[in-house]
Amino acid sequence: MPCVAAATNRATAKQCLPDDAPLRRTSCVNYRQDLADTEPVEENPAITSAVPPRKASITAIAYHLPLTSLTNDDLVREYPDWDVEKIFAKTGISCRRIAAPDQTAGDLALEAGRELITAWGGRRDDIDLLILCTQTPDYALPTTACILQDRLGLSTTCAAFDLNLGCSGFVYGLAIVKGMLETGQAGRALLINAETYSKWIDPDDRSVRTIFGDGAAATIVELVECSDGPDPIGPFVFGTDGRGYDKLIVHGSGARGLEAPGLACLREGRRADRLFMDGPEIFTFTIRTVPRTVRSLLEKAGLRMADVDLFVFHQANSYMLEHLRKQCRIPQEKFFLSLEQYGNTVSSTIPIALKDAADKGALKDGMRVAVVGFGVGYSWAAATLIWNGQPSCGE
Amino acid sequence: MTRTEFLEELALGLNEDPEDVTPEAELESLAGWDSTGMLGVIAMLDGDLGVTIDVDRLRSCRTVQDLMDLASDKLE
Repeated sequence: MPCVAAATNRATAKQCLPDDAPLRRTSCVNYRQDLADTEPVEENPAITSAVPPRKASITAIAYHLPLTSLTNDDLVREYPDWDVEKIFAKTGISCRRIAAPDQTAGDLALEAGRELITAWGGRRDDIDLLILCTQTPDYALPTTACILQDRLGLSTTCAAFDLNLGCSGFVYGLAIVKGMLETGQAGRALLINAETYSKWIDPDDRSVRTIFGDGAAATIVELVECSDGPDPIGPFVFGTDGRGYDKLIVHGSGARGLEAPGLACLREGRRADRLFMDGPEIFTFTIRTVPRTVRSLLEKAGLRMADVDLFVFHQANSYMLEHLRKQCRIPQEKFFLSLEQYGNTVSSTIPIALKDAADKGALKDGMRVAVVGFGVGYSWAAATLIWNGQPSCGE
Repeated sequence: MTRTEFLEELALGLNEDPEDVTPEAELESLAGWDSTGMLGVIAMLDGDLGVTIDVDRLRSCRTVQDLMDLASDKLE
């Protein structure tokens, strides 16, 4: 299946975008506090339109992993019939990090958020939107993001909510943040992805224990001045197919689990409060969906494969990713992998990989990245990003 | 892909001795036919042969011949 953008009569994304003048005015009036302090631009359309539009852009990422490691050697020591080489060959993972028994996604999110705010150097009072993407919240209620607002010392005028999505969650989070920032509903967002699937994993279930690791990633998204180039974040494509809901599921994790007499009931030979993954079905879903999604994204963005400098897919497992890479015809050097030391951290894999790619020099300012998340739901989403908001001059 | 190549690829994907992977071989008897082995078969059917995968049909296969039948119109 070739993955080049098909010939199309559709206009490119840039042409499809509405005139950004109203947007420009809104963001400047309400949220350019630095400018508002010195220039009374509100009532003067001439001045307003001279200011470059402000668009949402990722300005900082940090991640936090729990201390405990689970290596392939550890797994083989526990289960002598397992094979270190085979586990690595089939997953590309050497080590997963596992949360302590008393450590929750909220705790990991707190650490990632703290580290990020320090590294970012901005004022925490300026953060007025906090989104926590997790499927292992500290409580069914209250919302973990509300608790985090207090634990992170964010302003009480900060909007905060949880987003329940898995592997597509980072891309969805960016879409929501972009929408809220560019329509003037918020000025500075902290998006945190945090997951502790280990809480639901049966120690004897090789299919999931070899793959998933716990972790959290925090991302700051702010409005940056953005002249003519493409948006720093977007366009996006999304997709959902709820028919696959039971292919990656914890049956006893919500209200539907209450129908059963306690969580210890057995379902398909396993406890209902354990994570179940149908690997072959998930793999087939990704084969069916991901190449098509990449194609749609390029088409919507008016790009060719060669226009993308780096592809960062959800780091599911490297065996699957290598297959998808070939099916999409993405050159190896443009396909970033970063799961060997952490495993599949669900919605954190993409921001972790972006940070690692930037730290290793694989991702440089001005580069165009395509991020693609896919998995539990089934749910998927993809977007293009310009790293650090400004396209490089060479393009 | 020829039938012989299919069997060779299958043996590789399942991490099995090629001598054991004959059309008559029962999948149950092959240690490599577990969920990870199935991923290898899916990758081969999709990547090398362009077969659209139906996991239920894949799971209903009993022998290596049944797997080959899934790709019959793609094999020489």
